[in-house]
Amino acid sequence: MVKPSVMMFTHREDPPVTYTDPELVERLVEMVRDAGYEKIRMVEAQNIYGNWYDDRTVKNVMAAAGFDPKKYGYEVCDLTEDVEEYDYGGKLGKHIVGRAWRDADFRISFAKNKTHMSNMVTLAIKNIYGTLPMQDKAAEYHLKREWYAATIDNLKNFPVQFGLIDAVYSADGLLGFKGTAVPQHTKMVMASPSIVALDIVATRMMRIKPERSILTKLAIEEWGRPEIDLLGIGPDYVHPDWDNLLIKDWFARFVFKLLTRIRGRRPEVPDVLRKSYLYHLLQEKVPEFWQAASDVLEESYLSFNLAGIISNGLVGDKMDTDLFPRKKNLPKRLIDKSIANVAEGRKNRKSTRQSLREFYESLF
Amino acid sequence: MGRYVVAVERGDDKFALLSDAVDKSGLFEVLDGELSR
Repeated sequence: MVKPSVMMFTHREDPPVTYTDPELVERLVEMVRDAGYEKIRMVEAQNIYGNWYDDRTVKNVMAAAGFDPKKYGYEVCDLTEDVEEYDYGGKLGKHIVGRAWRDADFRISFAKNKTHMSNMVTLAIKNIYGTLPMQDKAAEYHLKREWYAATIDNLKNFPVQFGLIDAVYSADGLLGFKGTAVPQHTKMVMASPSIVALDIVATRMMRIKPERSILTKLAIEEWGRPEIDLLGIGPDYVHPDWDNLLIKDWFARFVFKLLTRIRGRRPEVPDVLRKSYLYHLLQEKVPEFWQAASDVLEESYLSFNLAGIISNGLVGDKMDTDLFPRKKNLPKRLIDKSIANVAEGRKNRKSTRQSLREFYESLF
Repeated sequence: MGRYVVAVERGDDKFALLSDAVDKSGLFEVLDGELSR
């Protein structure tokens, strides 16, 4: 079974940056078949885009992205549509599981190389969050449960035996997980029998300490820190000109470009500002602040949805609305669902507490 | 946890990158090992 990263698809990209390249995934299918394995499935679960757009079934989205199951002889399984009750134990507890995910003999996570607001990165481990079956993941996994604990509980029950990362083109910056207008041509494919080892290597290449990703941190706590035999590239390699979700990079470049265009030359930060303690504090601590702020944002269903809409706007809202029309009466639907979720929602705010604590500790 | 290979292939031919990464990281050895148990 192969789990590509597809459901953040909004429109057909050439080259694919937001989703795992279908040509690579289908070449992998061919390789697996050539090795003698016949029953190959591709799985995904519906996601929060289904709150705002219609027709976001896995089959529709994969077809729109260019996957061709008939030609390559595999089955597409929608983990949201075919579920059974299952007791995961842990914090996820009694919930549901996609039958195809449960029944797989061998699971491969084939992720895309992208940054992420909450988890810093979205790679082979975060890709497995996408197999949790509920479509409204904000309501179910961010508000009622801890999304990161749910992902780890999922992995404990249904191990992933192999990981790949499509880093031929990558998406960096503040909203890399939603794609970018300026892809990074990183020209890489990475693979490992350990998705933890794989993510550690890929995260370091983004100049991020692996433990800054809450999923990687929890995975290391759960399964231990893997020893890594790195093949093909030196241990100190980092992607050149890579921007993380550091708003200072993103915002500073935006402002500088704007001012440069207006004034015709690159502006300088005035001495009176550059010498201030506040300026240096903001320069150094904004990443921690931004991660804490994004976690706080997730505690409110309405703000989560509004942030999604706003961030779609920031990315450029490239949804192909011929294929996936906007839902009617969207504001009323969101407000109604928000009231319902505030009424019943609970959240163990561990991620928020951790983020705020890290931000606080980073100040001193 | 144990010791694991991480294969990182860099170049211009994406299909060759995939093939090399899969070979070096031992996908089919892992697959055969898991499914023969």
